[in-house]
Amino acid sequence: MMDTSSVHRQAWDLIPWIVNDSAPESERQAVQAHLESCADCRQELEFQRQLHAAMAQHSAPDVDARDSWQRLRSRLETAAGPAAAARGARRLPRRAGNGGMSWLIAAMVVQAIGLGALGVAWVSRVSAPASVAGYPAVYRTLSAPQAVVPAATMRVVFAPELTMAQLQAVLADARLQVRAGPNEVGVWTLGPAGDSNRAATDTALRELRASSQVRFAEALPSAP
Amino acid sequence: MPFPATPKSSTPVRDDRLDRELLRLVAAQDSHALEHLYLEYHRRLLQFLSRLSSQRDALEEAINDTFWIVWRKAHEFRGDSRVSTWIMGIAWRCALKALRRNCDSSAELFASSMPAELPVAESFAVEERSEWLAHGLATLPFEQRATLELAYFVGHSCEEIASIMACPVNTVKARMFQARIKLRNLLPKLGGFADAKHLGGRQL
Repeated sequence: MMDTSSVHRQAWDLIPWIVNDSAPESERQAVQAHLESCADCRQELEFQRQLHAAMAQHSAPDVDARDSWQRLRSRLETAAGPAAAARGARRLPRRAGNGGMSWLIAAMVVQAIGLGALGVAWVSRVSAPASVAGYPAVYRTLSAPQAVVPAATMRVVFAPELTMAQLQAVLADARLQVRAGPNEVGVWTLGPAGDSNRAATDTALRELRASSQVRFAEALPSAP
Repeated sequence: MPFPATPKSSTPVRDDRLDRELLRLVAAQDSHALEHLYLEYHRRLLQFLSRLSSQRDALEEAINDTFWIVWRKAHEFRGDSRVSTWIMGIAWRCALKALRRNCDSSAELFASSMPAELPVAESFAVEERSEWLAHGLATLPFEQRATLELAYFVGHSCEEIASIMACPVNTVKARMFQARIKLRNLLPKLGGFADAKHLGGRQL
């Protein structure tokens, strides 16, 4: 059997957990029994109740959680790209009908329009006679040297309302070309139109991030 | 003598069954479930963390780091605690890392959240209760203050706080004890007390 001071000390230690309603029933009963004969603990219980009530009064910071979520989502999508390709893992699914994801759907529309336009241009080229001025020959001999294309340097997500003309203007301003994409979550892979070096990549990234037409832009780990 | 009704915590206890179902979906890489969980917890986490530091950018970074880990580690949740406790534990560690990236030492970490000057006793009469409570809380060491916030602001039990802060239960009890003693001495008027005598029969 515990002596009086031990009971008192135990009850005093339990008071915060009585106040925040997380103590088990057995402890509540033990404290309750002790309180009937201990003015100090009754006083302490009242003090802690007031402290608890005062601490509960707190205005939440004014932050839009959806903005923060979009930043996390972009991060997850970026990480999902190469990792998913390497592992064959599932990527972040698109969310049809979700307001926050509508830009992705719009990006797919832009992609469809872009691919359509490219397809038309391609068919026009291959069907055009090689002798027609302005159309280079579309064949190449096996011994002909391969054109050296600088590697992709960055991943970018454009604004959903971006038109093809605007896309071309953004790419031209930043001296970039499309290497791949957009993928299923709307991420484009871009590379330099000219020489590839770190300074050019950084400059292009700064320009893209300053553009209202760009939602997200980051250098690839392999970028020079 | 029955206990009077306890005021509810400002962050009400969540339905753990719902959280567990969401986490199961997150473990299956369902981003809709992650978004739901994120939006449910963002305010709660920011409310708690913003009471420990005013470094808003670092706190936002910590919250996103938290859910980055939730996304990758949801399948490792063993179910031996509430989901809210598990997430809060991750958030606590991420917040410490994020805040320390911006401070060279725990002393600076603490200093960054302290007011420039504590009010003198004479000004208590004209200060709002919440203001001098904030000043009192700011004098507590970081871990003591976090313990008190987790108990009184978020509503966690002693055992849950030990899990969140990755420390023994006795450490939580000791931190809570020290925090109570210090606040009783700093804020006697909160309880209408003239001094802080007879605190649990202990030598102060």
